[in-house]
Amino acid sequence: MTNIFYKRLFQVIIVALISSSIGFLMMHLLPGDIAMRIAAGRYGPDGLSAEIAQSVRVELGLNRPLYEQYFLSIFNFLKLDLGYSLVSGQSVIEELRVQLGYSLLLALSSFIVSLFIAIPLGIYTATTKNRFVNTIMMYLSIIIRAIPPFVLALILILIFSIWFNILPPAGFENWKYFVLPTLTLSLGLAAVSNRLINDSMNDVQNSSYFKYGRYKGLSQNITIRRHGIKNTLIPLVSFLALQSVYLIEGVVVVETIFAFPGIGHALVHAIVARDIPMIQGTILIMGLIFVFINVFVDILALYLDPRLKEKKDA
Amino acid sequence: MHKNIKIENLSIFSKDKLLVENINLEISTNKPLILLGESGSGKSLVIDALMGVLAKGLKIKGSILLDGVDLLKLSKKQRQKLWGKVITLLPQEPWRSLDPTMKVKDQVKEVRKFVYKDKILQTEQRALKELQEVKLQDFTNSYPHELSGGMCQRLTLAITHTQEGSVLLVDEPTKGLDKELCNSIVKKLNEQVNEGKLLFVITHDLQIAQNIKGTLGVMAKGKLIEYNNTEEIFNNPKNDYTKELIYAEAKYWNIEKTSIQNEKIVEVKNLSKSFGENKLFSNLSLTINKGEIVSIVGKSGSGKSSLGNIILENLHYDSGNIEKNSNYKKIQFQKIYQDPPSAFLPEQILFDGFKDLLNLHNIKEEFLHSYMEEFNLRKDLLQRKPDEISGGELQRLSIIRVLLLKPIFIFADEITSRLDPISQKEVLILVKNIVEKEGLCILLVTHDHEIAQILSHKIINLKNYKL
Amino acid sequence: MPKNKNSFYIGLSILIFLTLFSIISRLIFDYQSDQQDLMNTFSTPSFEHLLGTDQYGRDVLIRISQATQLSFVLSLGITLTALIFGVTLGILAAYKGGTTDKFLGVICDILLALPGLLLVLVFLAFSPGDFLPLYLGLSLTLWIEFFKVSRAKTKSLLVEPYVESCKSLGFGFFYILKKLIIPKLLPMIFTISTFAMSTAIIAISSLSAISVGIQPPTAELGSMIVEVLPYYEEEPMLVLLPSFVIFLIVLALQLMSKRRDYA
Repeated sequence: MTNIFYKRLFQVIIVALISSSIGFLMMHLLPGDIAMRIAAGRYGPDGLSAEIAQSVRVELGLNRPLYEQYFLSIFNFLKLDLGYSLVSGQSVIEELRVQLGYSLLLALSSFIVSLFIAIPLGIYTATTKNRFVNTIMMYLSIIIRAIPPFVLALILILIFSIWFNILPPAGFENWKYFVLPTLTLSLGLAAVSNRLINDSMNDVQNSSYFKYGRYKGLSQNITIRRHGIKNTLIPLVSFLALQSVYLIEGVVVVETIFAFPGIGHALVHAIVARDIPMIQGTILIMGLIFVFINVFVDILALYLDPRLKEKKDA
Repeated sequence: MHKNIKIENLSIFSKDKLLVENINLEISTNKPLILLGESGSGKSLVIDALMGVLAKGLKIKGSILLDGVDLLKLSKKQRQKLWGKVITLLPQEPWRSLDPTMKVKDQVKEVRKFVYKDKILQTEQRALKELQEVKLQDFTNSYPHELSGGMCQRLTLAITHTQEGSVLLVDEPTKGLDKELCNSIVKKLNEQVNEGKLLFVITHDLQIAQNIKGTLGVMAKGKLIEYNNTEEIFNNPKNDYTKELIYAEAKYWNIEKTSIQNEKIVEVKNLSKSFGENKLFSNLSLTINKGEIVSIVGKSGSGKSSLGNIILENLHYDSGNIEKNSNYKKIQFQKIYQDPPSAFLPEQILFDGFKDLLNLHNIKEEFLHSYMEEFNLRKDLLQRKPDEISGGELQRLSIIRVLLLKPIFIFADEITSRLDPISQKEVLILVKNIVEKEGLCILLVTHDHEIAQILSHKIINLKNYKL
Repeated sequence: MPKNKNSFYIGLSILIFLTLFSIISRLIFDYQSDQQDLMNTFSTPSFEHLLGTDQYGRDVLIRISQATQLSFVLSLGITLTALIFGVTLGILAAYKGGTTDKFLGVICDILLALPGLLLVLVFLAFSPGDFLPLYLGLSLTLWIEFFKVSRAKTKSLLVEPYVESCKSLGFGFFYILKKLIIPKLLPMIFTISTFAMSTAIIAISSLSAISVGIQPPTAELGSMIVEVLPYYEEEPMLVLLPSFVIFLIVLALQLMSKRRDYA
């Protein structure tokens, strides 16, 4: 137990280090004079002059020795002073706060919707006598899985925004703007997890302990309930960690395509615009969320499978 | 309570093979039936047929009459209704049949709660009582993986006690378990017979067959080759195979021990070893001379294998001293493993492995072939892979492999516990002969005290070396 | 379980078909992928331009073959790099154990702190549109699976009795490596490779589609789709063709991977 805790703590530190270092590295490795560009960004190309560039330089501490600057950036980080966006001029933390809300909403609802699709589907295809349904779902899952998320997004935009014109394709003004992004992500997730649940359910039904439950005289339903479900969910939990990878990556791509105002979109824009503080901030937040999800998954796994407690301590 | 099961002209076959040929058996109250046979004899198929769980693709002919009702004529659903209520099963290797995510207590409670619909308080009390009966009262809240093999067996026995069926089918009750547990299992099963249950046991274990008195059927290659009262068969076996099987037990071997020579090969002084908190042994001293066979006995997990591994330098020891005769090279100290297939590279054709060995040490191929002849092994066995030949044959090949290196000391780690009784006798007598012929010494790990008595000059019981 | 042998060959044939298509079409036609012909934009398929032209009059057939080749070559290169480093280091970590193992484990933990695409974006932040950050980032991400699996399998093999037996019979580590470890690892490595390649292709095209990956005028399937999106109503084929190609490649790779396809 403690091992996992230290590992995750270590990862939190790494995330913080990486994001803070990016900012520092970018400031100094990119071609061109950073101070000039920041000044140009703030005051416009007309307002640019040597004095203004110099004042920016001093403000950001760019004239101090390198190691001092690095420690300063880390120090600021710890203070949670993430600076100001080079594009909008707003405080990075303020912007992130808003965007984080949108992204979390998107990620969570996509995940929940995918479970609503995958779990019943997976259990049904594993327990039904109708093999045809199972085969269809298998092929359908294979096909959806082979479509990259951004293509899936474009297809859904095509169907719902252009052909049927019932849902908006981009931006965010009301709940309708929420549907397509969520649908895109959850379909991708569900295509894989329903197969996982199907396979897991099949394994469980063929296992010795399941059969013994039946031989003891328990009915099929009771055996599934008491011996099937927990054991089916165990492989799903380790898969959850992978799903979170898909979710975070998907969030970046899907938000950009749908111009959804979340963190993923912000990151991409920041990269294109070289908005260094924003890049740092988004990477930090997304990295931290990822580590937290992993911690949650670890705890869930330990709860479901008693065998892991011993292994981890050994 | 049902009184009688008659199996009449039962045959089971797959698409191209006859797996069980025309057998007739009977089980009645106070006359339990033991079906004795090796793996592949068909006995498992008989128990599957009784339960109604034969694999898909197998066809069955004949009848199984439970008090006159032919079970084979019932529908699948009707047969499933019998599970747990009329026909109960004690499964093979019980640790596999226990839900790893459910506590011990809950797995016992299930039957009374869901099958007999007892009230909650009753089921709780009953479960605790049954667990106490089998001495598992300290493990009510544990999980299956925290229990030893023998404890899992007791757990499933406790579960069986809560069932009220009149038929008890027992599938290989001692497989994978220590020999010492045999007696308690026999006792428990005999109790079931006294309670009026119709008991049917399939096993390869002669002890079980001999001590549950009733009817005995001996199966080999799908045929019932001998069928009579248990005592009759053991006192006066008629069939040759049955004779071989019964006389394979160590107490019938008619052999003399090897002669010890005056050359020290290994000297162990005050050796101690612990595994974590577990003290395996301390202050163990031992000398092994050329020509000598020393046995180590003890329960599973007592560290029997550790001494041998320490001598072979596969394992470190905590304190003490080991001296090996310096006239011999390290490679002349060898080991033979318990599970024959796991000592060979799984996908490698046996001949290739041998060829590599011969080339590595510059040994002539003739030696390999002469040993093969001497040990009665057909040349074509070498063209197969390890999992394609029998355990007895593979173990003999392991011995040859080691002999090619002209060993002086062999650590034989339970080398026959995975073999059937007949192969076991063959291999051990062969080993004794090579000690004489080649002039080496053996450290033998075994759980069979009789074998230890017959073969060895010294017996070490690790119990005596625990502080 | 999906029909394993058949699906493998179907996948393989799709890939072979696409490779041949890509090579042959460029042997027959010698247009450049960025050769513009503004008098001839959006032309319908003809003998001159088998698949028509795009919004700059560039030959679509050539662009698609070029883009397909790019996807193949880049993802293959990334996968091979990840494979070589991952498997070698994995076996090394399992064999040496101790500090080597711990050290490599720490590196893994570091790289695993960020999900794959994020790591690649970190690299791309320095120079969006370049090949090097893309190649480096994806190799670092995909390396981990090869490493973990090789290490776990090698570790489990090394404690088997037959390894101890080989050693006491006088055989060395390289014998065991050659006869046991590598044959056992090969099927697993193959499965991971097909999965890694499809991940790489999806990542590359997604990154181009959101304008931080490979940029026009380089022909890349993802950027081609997004470029032509505004003209969807007039020329749907221009959007559908590259999408279909990506879909085919990924599908083929997934069909070729034999393991249960969700991890």
